[in-house]
Amino acid sequence: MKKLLSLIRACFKDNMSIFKIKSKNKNSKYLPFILALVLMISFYNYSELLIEPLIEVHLEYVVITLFVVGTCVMTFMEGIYKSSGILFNCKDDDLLLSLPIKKSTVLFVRLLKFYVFELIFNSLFLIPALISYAVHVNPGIMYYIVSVFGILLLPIIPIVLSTIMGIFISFVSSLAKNKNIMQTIFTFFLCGVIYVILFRMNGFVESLAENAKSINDLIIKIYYPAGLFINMIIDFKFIDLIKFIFVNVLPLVILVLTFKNMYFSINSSLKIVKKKSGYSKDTNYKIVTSSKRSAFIKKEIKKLINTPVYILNSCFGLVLYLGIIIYAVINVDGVISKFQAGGANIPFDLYSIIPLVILGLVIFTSLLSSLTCSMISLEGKSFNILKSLPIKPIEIIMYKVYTVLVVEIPIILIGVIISIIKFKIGIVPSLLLIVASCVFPFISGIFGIIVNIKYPKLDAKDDTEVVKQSMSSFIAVTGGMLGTGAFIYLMFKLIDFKLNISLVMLAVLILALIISSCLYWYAKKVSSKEFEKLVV
Amino acid sequence: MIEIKNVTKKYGNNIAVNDVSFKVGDGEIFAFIGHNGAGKTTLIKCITGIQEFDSGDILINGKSIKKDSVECKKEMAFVPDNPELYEQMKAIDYINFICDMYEVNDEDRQKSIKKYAELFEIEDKLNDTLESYSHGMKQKIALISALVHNPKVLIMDEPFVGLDPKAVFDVKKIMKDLTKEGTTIFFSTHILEVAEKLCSRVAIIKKGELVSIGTMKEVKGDKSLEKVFLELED
Repeated sequence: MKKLLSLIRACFKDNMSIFKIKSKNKNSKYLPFILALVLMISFYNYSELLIEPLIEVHLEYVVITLFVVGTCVMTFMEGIYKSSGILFNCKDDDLLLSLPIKKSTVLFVRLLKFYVFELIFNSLFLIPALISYAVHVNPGIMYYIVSVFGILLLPIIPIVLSTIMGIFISFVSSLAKNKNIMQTIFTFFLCGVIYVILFRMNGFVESLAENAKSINDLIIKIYYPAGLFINMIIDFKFIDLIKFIFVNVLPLVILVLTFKNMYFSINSSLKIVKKKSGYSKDTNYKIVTSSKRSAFIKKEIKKLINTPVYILNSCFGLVLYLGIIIYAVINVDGVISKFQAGGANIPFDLYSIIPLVILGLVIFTSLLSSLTCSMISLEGKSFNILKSLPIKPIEIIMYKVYTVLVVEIPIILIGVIISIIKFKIGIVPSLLLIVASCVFPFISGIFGIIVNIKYPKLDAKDDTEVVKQSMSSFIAVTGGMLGTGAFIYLMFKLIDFKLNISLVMLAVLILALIISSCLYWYAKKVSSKEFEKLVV
Repeated sequence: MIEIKNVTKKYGNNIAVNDVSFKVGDGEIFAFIGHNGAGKTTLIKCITGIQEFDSGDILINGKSIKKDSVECKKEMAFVPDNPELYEQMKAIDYINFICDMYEVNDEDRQKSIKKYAELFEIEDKLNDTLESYSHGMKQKIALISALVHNPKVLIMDEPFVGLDPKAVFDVKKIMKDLTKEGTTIFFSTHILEVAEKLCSRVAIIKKGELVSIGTMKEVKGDKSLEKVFLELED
């Protein structure tokens, strides 16, 4: 027990440095907390929007149900590639395995680390919904106790499930020669399959709904712990609380005990990088001359391709974007009629604003696919090589932004061109969409690198820590979400003024160009100097 | 030539390098020795432009690293103490990347890569990724990358750590050959024997301050460098 506590203390002291901001600037220190607060306020407002009509039909708890199911699905989906990163490819494996500690203890501590981060991020979504419910229903003390148990225990099962998937992916990848690329392809494939299954679950849910006595009965049938949690909120019973704790904790215990041996054998297989036959012994090496820019971009792309958690985190949105565009192209009438049948209160003809919808999708995809927010941190100890090179800091910054453009623009453009052809979008909005496909990835790229230079994590134990658990990735994602929200809000407001669609798009683009220029100016004047001060 | 003028570097209230000044001339091999935490790596990072310093200046062939860092870096090569290279790259891709950054032309890089890869007996491993390399092999790649662009000033932090005896011998030979062409070599080491045999001048740093500097004879007199070092450390 003493060893376990020491290990937890050491692990968390090291990994929770996400919350220690080294910046001397007071505003920089508070920025993450301000952003977290803004995010929570946004979700509070959103839950308020949902709860008001539900109060009239006494279904207030449905808001909590939605947020619980949403966070569980999000934790599970993200956890699939996060777990492979957190549990495998750790730099402290050799140290920990040389110590007299049980394997199950090491696995438990790593899962605990995974759990704590999920707990923190889930709380940002769950707490606003729980507060919103409390404000309207004015529940008793048991509600607050149950809420605490809910926040603490609900992430466990999605974590366990995603860990099993992560272990499976890592096991299959460990058999391949190029483990990293195999891991990336396999994770993309599995996530795709899960998305398709979720998409095709309509019929299953409908049949469950027909046989369910209430909405909560339906939730219990779909996901038992969530249903149990909502049951306790509506009508607390002590036995339900015991069941809730048992149902959530038991899978974790089983996971640790079952996988402890398999986990370490997969881990050691993943670490074998030398080919069985030794080195290639090939003396015909290629000498290729490139410009500084293209050499740099090639290096960054190589890093992206060989870091599964990085490519999955940054590019999954792009793949999803293409999927949505293709689905919409195939089934546009179905999508629009579903929107209208779902009671979406949209005061205009959806067909007439298709270019704006595409623009919204481009903004959403670009701003949430932040590659650069981890690029400096992922340099790790090799950051000194970068700094010793004869290149100006602003050039390094821009080369990293160009990498984003090289990766993102072609994918976004494919979606835009498919949409232009299918929906017969006019010349002006088409041109504006093409320009937007270049401008928004630039904003995302330069914003990400500015944030990463301000909040670097050059001493991370693994890539997942940088990509998923660093302050810069949190700020970039939150900033991306808020930015997307702001642009879409602006579009709706401009439509209210009965402006022509092209004028609305032009106004959004002008604003985007102004923001791009400001960010470039900031990168040149401030981030370059901050970059010079960074040392490993 | 390297000129260090009253350089001071602080980490908060802790003075890592305190008002250090000295020169290293063209064609000179200069050893920089001191115990762990004395300030060697900090000063090396300042010289290479990796780290900013609080006061003073450092000139590389007459150019200030503070004012004209890119021009200084073009004439310089750095071998870090721990070869943390881009692991996902093949060794040849990494060397090509460094050559691209220093704008080495095709013909020169072809010749240099062949020369040093053969010397370090690593030419049949250049197509392997760096993550499969041992520490010593990575160190060899770091050395090749530093040498391929023919630097006028070579800065090395503990260059012999992890190298096999043959490679140590080869590096020493390369260092001597480079000085004949006028290259300035500045390196830190804990292997006092190497410093004693290889260097024309030496500096000993203690708690961020230079405690002794001069030609090998001036610093050690009739004693061994190890004895002088231990006495100064006491």
